[in-house]
Amino acid sequence: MDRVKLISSGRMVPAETHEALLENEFVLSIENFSLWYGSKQVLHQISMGIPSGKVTALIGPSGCGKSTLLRSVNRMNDLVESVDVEGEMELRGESIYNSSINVIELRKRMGMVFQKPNPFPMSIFENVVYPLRIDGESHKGRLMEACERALREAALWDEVKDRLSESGLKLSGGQQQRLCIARAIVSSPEILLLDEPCSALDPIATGKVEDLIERLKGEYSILIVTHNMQQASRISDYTAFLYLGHLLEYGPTSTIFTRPRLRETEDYITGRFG
Amino acid sequence: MKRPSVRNNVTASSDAMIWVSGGFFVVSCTLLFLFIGHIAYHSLHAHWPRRVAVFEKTDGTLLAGEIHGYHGESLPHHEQSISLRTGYNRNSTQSISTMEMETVTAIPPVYPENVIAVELRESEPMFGLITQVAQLQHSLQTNVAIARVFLSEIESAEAKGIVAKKDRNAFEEILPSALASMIEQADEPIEIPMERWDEAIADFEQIVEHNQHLIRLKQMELSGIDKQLSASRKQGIRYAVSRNQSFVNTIDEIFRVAFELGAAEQAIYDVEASARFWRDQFQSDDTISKSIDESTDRIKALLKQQRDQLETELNTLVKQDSWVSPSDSQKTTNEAREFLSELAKTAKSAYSQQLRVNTDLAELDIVRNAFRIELTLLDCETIAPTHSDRTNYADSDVKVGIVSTRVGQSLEFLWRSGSTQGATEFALAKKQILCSDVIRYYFPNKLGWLGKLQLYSERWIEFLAGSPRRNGLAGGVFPAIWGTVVMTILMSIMVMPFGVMAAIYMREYAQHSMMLSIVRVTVHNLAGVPSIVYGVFGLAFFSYLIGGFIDGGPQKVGLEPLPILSWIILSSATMISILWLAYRTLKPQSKFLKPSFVAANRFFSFGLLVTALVGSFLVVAKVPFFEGLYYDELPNPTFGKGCLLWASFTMALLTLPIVIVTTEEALSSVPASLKEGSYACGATKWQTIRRLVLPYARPGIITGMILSVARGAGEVAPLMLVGVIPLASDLPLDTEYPYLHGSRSFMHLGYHIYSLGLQNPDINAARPMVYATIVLLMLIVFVLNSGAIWLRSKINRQMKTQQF
Repeated sequence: MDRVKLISSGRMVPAETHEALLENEFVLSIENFSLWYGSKQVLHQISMGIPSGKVTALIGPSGCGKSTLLRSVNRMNDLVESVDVEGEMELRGESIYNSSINVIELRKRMGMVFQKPNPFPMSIFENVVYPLRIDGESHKGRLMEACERALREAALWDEVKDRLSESGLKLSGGQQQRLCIARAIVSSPEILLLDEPCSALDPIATGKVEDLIERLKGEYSILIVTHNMQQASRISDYTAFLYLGHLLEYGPTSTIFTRPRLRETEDYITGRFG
Repeated sequence: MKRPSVRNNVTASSDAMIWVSGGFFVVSCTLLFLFIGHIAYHSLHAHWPRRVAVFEKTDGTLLAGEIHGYHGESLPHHEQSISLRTGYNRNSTQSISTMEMETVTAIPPVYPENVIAVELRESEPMFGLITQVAQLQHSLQTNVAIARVFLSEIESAEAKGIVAKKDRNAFEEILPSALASMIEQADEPIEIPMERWDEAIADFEQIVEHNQHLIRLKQMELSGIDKQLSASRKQGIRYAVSRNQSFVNTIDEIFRVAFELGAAEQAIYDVEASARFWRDQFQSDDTISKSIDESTDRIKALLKQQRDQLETELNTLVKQDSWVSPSDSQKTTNEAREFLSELAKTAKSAYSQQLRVNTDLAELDIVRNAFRIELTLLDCETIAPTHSDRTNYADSDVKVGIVSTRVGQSLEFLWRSGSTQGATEFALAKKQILCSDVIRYYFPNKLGWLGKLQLYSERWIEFLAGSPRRNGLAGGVFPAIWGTVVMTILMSIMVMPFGVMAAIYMREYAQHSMMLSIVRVTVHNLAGVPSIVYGVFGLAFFSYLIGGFIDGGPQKVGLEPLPILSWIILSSATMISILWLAYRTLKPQSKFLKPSFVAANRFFSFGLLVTALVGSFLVVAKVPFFEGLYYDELPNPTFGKGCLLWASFTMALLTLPIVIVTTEEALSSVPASLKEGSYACGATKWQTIRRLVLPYARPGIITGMILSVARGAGEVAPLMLVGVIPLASDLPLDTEYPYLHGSRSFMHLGYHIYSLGLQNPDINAARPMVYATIVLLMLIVFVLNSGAIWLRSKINRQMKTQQF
């Protein structure tokens, strides 16, 4: 537990990044990224690359900063007052925190799904095409086409194709979450950010969403935050373990879950602490 | 097996609070229903026709009227009384009189079948019996009017000393007596025989209706001429602005002389007509005819002389030099002369046209006043009994009540008393009414249910669609309904964008700061400020300051205009700071800036903001090029008084805090997760607000609108300061260009209730109208509210369904 003690006493510890990761091409690379809420530092010099076309899971005990890290990727933290950042993030080589970047355009290149399903109070169709609408697309045919594609990819098409004009709020929880995923992928984002997408769902709905993530793998680069170890091991290709704002270990999921290099990782995975 | 009811188990049978709370509930509901029931009863009763009872009093007089209630039925006889609506009453200003039961001899009263109730345009209704229907010979009367002109011209010439009275020729000598006999003949009415009364009244109604239509047309023509005159006067004054005061005086002089000239020309025309008439009268008599021609020539010569004099005066006015300033070139002076002579020509023709229309109107008036009905009134408190031979009426089977007898062609009504042995008769008071004053008549004691219902609905229709009569005591309240609706709609149109946008800024854009909290608390408090305060502010700020500014420019409201150069400098400075501010706000800013830079930035922005605000105020308030839009109407204010526009502004200001508060609450109810979802899709703030926040908050925003509308429809205090009047002749929104008349005063239902109920000397007469107006106002507010609630629930159904 020496690393835990070091971190608790405010020291930096180097991250254990597996060499297997280096084979990949990164869609997103994070360099020495730190973040403060007011005077409280929540992320400590995190450096990691998110492989393209793979599923990367962020795991860690509550409050370790995994959601904050995810929200930093599409600069959702800007909405919170008194946030300061340091370090660098690059989306396909383009700096995210450059002062000249257009945040709105940046967010359009990413899709995000939240913990609780948050369909908009409008029809299913309008929910799905919302990102296109705000982009100025109003051609009914193109919208319909995009809507159908996104809903098929989100495995929701067969369930809702006859009631696209009904309110999105009428769907069940699992369907709502898949609707949100459809909304997130309708504009073909470069990276899909999932913030504990199954935590508010029942096991059956969770299974469906997990199947969906499996199917989306390859086509989209996915960064998923989860507190569910089994889920991480089931669906992700790579796993990063965060602890109190520090990245401790990052490697292929199979290695992390079978032969973790750090004892802390093993303890967390086996449930001995966290 | 039947399951035991779960409900029974949870009923708090042993809980004492059920009685306490239930008791409070019952009392509250009772009070509310009492309130609604009271108003509903009185208003529904208001227009219902009642029977007319005739009472004989112990002092030997009669009193007729609609019984409005018996008082003190449980008390001893001498303390009981009756409320009686006597209608038109020469002795009292009160329409409902209270009569001691002791003073009445016959209870129950008599309900004579032939009593007629006549509702009149400008007085209380009359209850009586028709004794005569007559028609004046209006063609004779018109002739008298034409004939009279000659005599009056002669007399006025004599009065001026132009002609001596002793010089009258043969015709002039006999003229007064001829005219007098003509007048006598014309004043003799043609009585309609009794058998043809019904028919005749129907005919009269038709003639009078047609006549009134013609009168309306003529009046419209007159108002058209008035408008034309005032327009050309305005044109003159506008032209005069570039010149001096003496030019304005000249214009006024021209109008005065033009009027006199028109009158003189009309007089010549009238005298010619009069002379023609007299010549026709004395066709056979050669000497008289000759003297008619002689005196016509004399009078015409006099009148023509007068006219020529006036014409010269007019020409001198146009040609005079008093208004010519040395700086004027010959060309501009000639132009001004041209303009003045044009003006004189228009004014002259307009005035003579006006006089002609007035003559026509006088003729129509003669026709209008020619058709009469004579009523025998049944309130004869001042009539002494005349004991006449009772044997005349021995054949009548009436024991107590009215007996009739024919006197010549007409009817005479007398009262047979029940108090004395045998029969005593009374002569009853008579009253002539003009057919044109009659709104409607009916036989109240003969009306069946159907007839009553018809009359009832007729009265309601008049109430809803008609204009007020008798200062609002009768007739309709349509102008008040219309004024209320127009004002409320205008108010909503003004308050909604301001309130919603302000709330959006406060909730969505503004950063949390001390300043924002202070503003928010202030706005919340303003929602509770007494409305009269807004009224006073509206009068002072909108009416007098802004209205005065619009009417007469900066000078009118006591602001010295800036010199042109400094105004230009100030306006460019203001413009620059506004543009700079806009640029600073709109240019993309990084969130991560140095604190010192941010502070300096803020200080600088604040300076710019102050410059922009103060500058725009000064630039507008002290503009040197603005003389006011209605300076030609001054000193009569156009917008510088209470009017529809300022009333709507004041009400908008009054309801603005309500709208802001409710909208802010509605906006804050939008879940953060929705907004985040939208931002994550790459939506901008405004896109999120427009596509998500506003639709989601719509029910709450509509609630704010309902509240403001209900307030606008029901508020009285501020409105009476800023433009509501008890009786308005014009509607604020009509078919006349420019359709919406922001500068007109208007009527309002709430104020109508106040002015009828409290500003009226005869509250009893006003009571039915007050209740009917109250129920109407309540209905309007109910309809508005329930419509909005329905809309809200419909939107709610669309928006929200079960979440999981």
